[in-house]
Amino acid sequence: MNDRPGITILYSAGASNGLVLALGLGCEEEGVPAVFGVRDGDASSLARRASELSISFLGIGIDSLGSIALHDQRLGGLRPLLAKADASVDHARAIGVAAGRIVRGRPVGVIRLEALWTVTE
Amino acid sequence: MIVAGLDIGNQTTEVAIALVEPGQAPCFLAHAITRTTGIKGTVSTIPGARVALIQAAERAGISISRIDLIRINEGAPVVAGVAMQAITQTTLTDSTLIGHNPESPGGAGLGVGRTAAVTELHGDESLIAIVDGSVPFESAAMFIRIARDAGVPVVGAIVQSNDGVLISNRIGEPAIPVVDEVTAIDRVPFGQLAAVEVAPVGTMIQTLCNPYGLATLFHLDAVQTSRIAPAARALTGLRSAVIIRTPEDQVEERTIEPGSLTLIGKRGRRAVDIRAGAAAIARELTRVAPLHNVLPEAGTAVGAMFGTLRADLSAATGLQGSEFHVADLFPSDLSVFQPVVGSLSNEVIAERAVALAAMVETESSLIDALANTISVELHIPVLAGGREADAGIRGALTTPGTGFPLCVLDLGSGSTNAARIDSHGEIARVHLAGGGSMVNLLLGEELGIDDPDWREHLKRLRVARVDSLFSIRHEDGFVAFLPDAVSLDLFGRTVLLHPEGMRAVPGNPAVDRIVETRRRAKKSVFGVNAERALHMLAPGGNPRFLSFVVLIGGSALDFELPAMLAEQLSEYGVVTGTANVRGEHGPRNAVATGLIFEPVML
Repeated sequence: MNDRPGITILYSAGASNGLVLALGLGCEEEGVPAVFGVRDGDASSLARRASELSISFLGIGIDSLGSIALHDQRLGGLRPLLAKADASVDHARAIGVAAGRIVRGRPVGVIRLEALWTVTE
Repeated sequence: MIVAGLDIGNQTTEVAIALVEPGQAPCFLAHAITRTTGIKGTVSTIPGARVALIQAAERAGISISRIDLIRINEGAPVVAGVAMQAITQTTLTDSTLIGHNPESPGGAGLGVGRTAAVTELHGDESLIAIVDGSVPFESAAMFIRIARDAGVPVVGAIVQSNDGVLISNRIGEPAIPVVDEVTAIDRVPFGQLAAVEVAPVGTMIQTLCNPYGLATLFHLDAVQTSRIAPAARALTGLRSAVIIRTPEDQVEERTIEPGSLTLIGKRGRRAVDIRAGAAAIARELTRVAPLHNVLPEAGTAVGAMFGTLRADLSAATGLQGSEFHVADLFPSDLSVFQPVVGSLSNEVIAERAVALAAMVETESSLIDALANTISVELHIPVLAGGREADAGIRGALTTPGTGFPLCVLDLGSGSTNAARIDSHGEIARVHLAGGGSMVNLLLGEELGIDDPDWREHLKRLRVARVDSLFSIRHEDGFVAFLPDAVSLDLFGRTVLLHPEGMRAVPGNPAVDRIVETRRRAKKSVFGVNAERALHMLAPGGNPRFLSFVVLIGGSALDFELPAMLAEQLSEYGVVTGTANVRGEHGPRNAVATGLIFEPVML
């Protein structure tokens, strides 16, 4: 799964299909391919694992509790770039867009939903 | 006796306190600097002056009452700083335009047709689909696909949500231009002729930014083309755009004429139209020089600007507006961003304009009134002693390595003052309008940044680009790696390198654009004023006869200006450097220090 450029999205078996789809749509709107895979774990660990598999260094994890995390490989074991517990479809779409913009080197601050995000400390 | 030199400038108030005994060199005890309150030369500056005096006295370990004498500038010529306002003409348009530059428009190409709701795509006329935010992208794509399958020529789409690529990816071939993130979509009229253009990735639109391209699309005559030209200009350099033709009577026109100035000088009187530009105004100023007054044309933009200046000065001094006259005028060309009438996405258009700095004088001796008031309030005798430029040169002469003859450029915020002391100790001086505040104005207007603090920051501090989560690229191209990942708010942005941390620059202009605009603003104010001053002061009007120029004043602390001026003046063989007043204060405190050196009159 790591031989295509793009954003790697790992989700747990119980993750919401709607969230997974919305993340993919966010990436697609930004013109960045997304690569999907299923693994066990919470959002943060899935995101970290996804970033290790990703050629763009960016990975997203979604767990069965509805949490989403965005991680950059170079952060290593540090906290993810973004994390949202109990995410809605709109959050998922916005995080997908943010990931796409990071890959493209474009500002992500213009996304209107940013006020809703919580970044884990 | 203990003497305080008090220099009240446009931006800062500086104090030097010294023990002065006849026949001995002054023994400096302390100094202080604070922000000026009110308009220079008026009693509204006294609160700031008091703070600076108290600070300096505390540092000297004395009570303010121990000060025996305060000397202030004979600043009578300069009552107030600067009147500056970019003067331009209101832009008109009879079309609605969306010069929107969304991050990710969909498709590519140019489509011209009538606007219609995406749910109402019928007939055989070319249509532009309007998709409001309540329509999901799958549905929008389905409506367009079904209409096209039925033979309806849908040639473009305008979308409220950030769905342009998603819709474009789901309607099949041929691709049509889709402009998204149009928040004010409810103001897009149905049934009007519209053009939508999206350029391929990495390129800019070609047709909608060309007035004759628009004329071809909309079948316009010469008069209509000239009316739509501002819309075309507003769209230049974008990747996507929409223009919707609206009936002409739906847009109100309003024009404010820039107006003209009548320059009255020793050598006559000349009128000059503001639209002629800064170079033409400067040429006329030279012809009438020295300037005695400027009369603006009433009912125009320039008339309003001078009216505001006189009203502010009258309020601060209690004098009538007619008692002021303009002793120097500094014009500079610039681009200002003007809102476009009839736009849907707050488009702006860069208009050529002229900024003016005016130095105002009064016949009445305001400095005496100021001196008296300070004296009464602080119970300390106050002497108005020495012109600002003279004090500046005396202060600058405390710089190690300086001597006669010498030329001093005081780079202030409101004005640029210059003085030359010859080998006999004789001093000549000029006071010119235009300083750091003018640089802020030019920089802010050119970059479309209104906030005064941001203008000052962008003048004084460097910028960089956040290239990745872990690195920034400096102005000189040097890439620096960061210990921690940047905040996502800063990612991909141009940032100000503030001592307290990076800050995203409003509007996210490119680093190169900021650097070029900043240097041009500094050069067009201080570079031009340095040339003007040195030509006025140099023997025979030729700066080549000058040897040494010393820079003082707040703007001499600028990180790049001294080097820029040194390079510019090196063409005359002039050696230029920044002062180090009393060997420890850099270019600061020169005037306050110089005031201490005025001959003591007891």
